[in-house]
Amino acid sequence: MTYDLSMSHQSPTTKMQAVETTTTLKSVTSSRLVRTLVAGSFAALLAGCATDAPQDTWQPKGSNARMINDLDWVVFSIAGVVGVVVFSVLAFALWKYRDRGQPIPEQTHGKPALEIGLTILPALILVGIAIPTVGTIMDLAETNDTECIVNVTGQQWWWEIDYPVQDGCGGIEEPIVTSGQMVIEAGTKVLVRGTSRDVIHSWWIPSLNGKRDMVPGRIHTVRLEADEPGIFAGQCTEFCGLSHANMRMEVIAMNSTDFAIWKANQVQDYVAPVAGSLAAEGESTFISQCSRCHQVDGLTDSNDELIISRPDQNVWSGAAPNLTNFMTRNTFAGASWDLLSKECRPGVWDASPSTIGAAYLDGVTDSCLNEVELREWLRNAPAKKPMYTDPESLEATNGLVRGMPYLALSEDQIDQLVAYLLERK
Amino acid sequence: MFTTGSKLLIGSSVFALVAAVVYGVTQNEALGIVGLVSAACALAFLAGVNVWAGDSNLSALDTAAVATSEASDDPPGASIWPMVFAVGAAAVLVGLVSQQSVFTIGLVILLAAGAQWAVQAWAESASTDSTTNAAVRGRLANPLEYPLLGAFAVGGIAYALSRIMLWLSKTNTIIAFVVLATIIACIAFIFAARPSLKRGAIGGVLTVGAVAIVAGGVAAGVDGQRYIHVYETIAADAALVCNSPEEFEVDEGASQTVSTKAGTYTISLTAAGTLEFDVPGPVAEGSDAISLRRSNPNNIVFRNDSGEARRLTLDFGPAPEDEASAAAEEGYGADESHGADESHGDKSDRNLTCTSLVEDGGAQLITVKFAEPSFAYADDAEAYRFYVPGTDAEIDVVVP
Ligand code: HEC
Ligand SMILES: [Cu+2]
Repeated sequence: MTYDLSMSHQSPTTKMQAVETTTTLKSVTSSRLVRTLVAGSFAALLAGCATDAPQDTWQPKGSNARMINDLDWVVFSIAGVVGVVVFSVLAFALWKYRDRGQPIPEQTHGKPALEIGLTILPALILVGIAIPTVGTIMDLAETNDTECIVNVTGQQWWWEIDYPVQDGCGGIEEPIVTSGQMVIEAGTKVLVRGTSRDVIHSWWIPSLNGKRDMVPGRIHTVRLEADEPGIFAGQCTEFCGLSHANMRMEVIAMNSTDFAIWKANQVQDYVAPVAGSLAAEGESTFISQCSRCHQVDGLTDSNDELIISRPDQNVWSGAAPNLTNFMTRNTFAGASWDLLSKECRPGVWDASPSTIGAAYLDGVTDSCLNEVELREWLRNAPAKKPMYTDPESLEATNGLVRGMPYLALSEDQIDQLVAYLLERK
Repeated sequence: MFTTGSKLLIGSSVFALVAAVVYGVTQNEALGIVGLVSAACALAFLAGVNVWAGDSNLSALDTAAVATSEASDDPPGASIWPMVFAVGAAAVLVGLVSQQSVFTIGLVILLAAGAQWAVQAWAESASTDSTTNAAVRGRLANPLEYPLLGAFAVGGIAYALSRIMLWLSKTNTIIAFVVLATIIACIAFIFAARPSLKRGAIGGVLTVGAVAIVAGGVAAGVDGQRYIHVYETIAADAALVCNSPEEFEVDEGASQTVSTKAGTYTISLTAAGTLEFDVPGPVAEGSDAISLRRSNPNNIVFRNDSGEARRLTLDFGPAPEDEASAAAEEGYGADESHGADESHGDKSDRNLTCTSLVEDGGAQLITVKFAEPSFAYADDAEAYRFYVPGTDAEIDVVVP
């Protein structure tokens, strides 16, 4: 283009050369651009091919996620056809009518038939997309076919999961409280009833259903159903502060026999460690150091009085994970770290649908404990997971921590606590 | 004839002379006098040269050139901003050692004056013509000044109106504002009907109105607001109120409707006199007890269909001995001081919270928070139970 200015008073030959130079320049830049584009889109394509992608929205593992997935295909296909048509026409017009120095064509205006047609056509397409979309939204909001109710409560930065007393879930007579991992029966229509204790969190198990924001003071419902036994990973998807990225969760689906075993185990009476054992020392350390925040159901003090934790007096959200059956779960601290060692993990996580329930029910045994990371947690939790626990900076929360604070435990105390926790199953 | 430069030099030389005299009288020392007198002479000489030659390399005799030289440009106009800036700076310093509000105001003044000063100085160097410079200044500063000043004006008027409203009684406020709105509408009609009206007239009317409102606001603000009755809260007397179906002061004028329709629990008192609960999700949960979360503000709508005015009461367990633990166990909204002991002898030994009286067909929201699980009160039949005083209706609460 810049040549044009000087061309007017140049001889025809120089003009020719000038034009040539421009074309070569153009083709150099455009071929480089094309190469970059091709490489870029290829890389993007490859990035979509991760094999180990447990949170892939395109791999539904239950009826609700499948409804979303089916709708996705309809919408994306229609959008794809529209996209291809629009871009082809555009490309054709750009190429056919590119500037070759020809005079500007006659400018016309107003073609009612075309304009009305081009308004009605997209409207029809949108209506066509809206019908299945609204239908899916309604189906996903259905709650009357519920067979089991599970409460989830988000707080910085973990999910509490509890099973209210009900006829559903095969009957729950005593409430069950756990954290990070929700156990359900495969093939059962579960209704999650969620809320939050502090800020907005969002519950999302991609292979089972879409996201649902959990707003403090409100109760939100979301359906879950797993086709087959398995472990389904999820993630808090509403930015909720410092450790948002470490606020994960899993749903474990098992067959009805295994689920019944799990339920029965969760409400079993507390069994105190054998007197004189390391775990027994752990129990008293736990009472002095931990039970002000963490509830262990059935734990009693020296006067045989039940010990009731008061996380509301220690933690900003008012809650800390219930550790009664800690070793029946296999991840901890917002499902962000494994309780199972590297060697034992695949035995549960990669188990087939027919064996996964039993494998999960084995819980975390002495030999399978991921002791290193659990010890790191007890040694200095905020160093492992960023949390607001620095005593210097708790003015905004009246001295209450958000997360688990550093407790200055000795290595001996940690030994005792690990031994004690190992028996919580 | 005296250029800026010559004035400076003449002044300096006179100053040096005066200094020499003062020095001579007070110090009695020769060297200083010699220096100062020499300086005076040198400056006087320079002044002479300057007067003769003009400020630039021009001959003072060349009048045409002198008239167009830079030195003959209009000097910058007087500016108030340096002074305001100084006031701001002083306020900042005073504020640092006294009060934060003074500091903040000072900082705002400092920034505003600084900005104005900078814009003015910049505009004054735009050209040699002061009208052009003023226009340049306006173009840069007005888009910021007008909205800010407008916001201040609107804020001031709104604040004045609020003072007037708070000063008038509830009924008079309504009357006054109906009248005011009518007047404004009439004036607007007149303006609209007569587009030929002079701008000055419109501006005048608006100014008079604004001044009247601000003046009214100042007067009302000085006189103080009307008496507003402070109602007791339930917490002040929970033990008495929550156990009774009677009406108390707290129940007067209590809201009977709830705007929340979804996303909460509902407990209804039916015509049959029983308590039933409804939760988001399926209704038939198969339990006589309502499960509520621990350590979580549970919002519950109480709906009364019983035909009589009723309240919903929650028993949290035995009343704690010390006030400190009581505060921790109270429901939300029950945060007023504890007056139960002094005002009434009828002190219950239970820790209660409740709604105010809800008329038949009405609804009210109650927010309850349980610090402890219900098994902590397993052997207390009264604890963790909703009931309706004056009836047998009750439901248990399970808190995991
Ligand atoms: C001030 C309260 C507080 C104290 C005291 C406390 N914790 Fe915690 N703890 C928490 C909170 C809050 C979390 C959840 C942190 C997260 O995942 O974000 C937690 C998490 C945990 C977890 C992971 C639980 C799970 O299910 O994911 C374990 C295990 C744990 N704490 C053990 C202990 C032990 C052992 C002690 C005593 C030495 C202790 N805690 C003392 C507040 C506390
Ligand atoms: Cu979150």
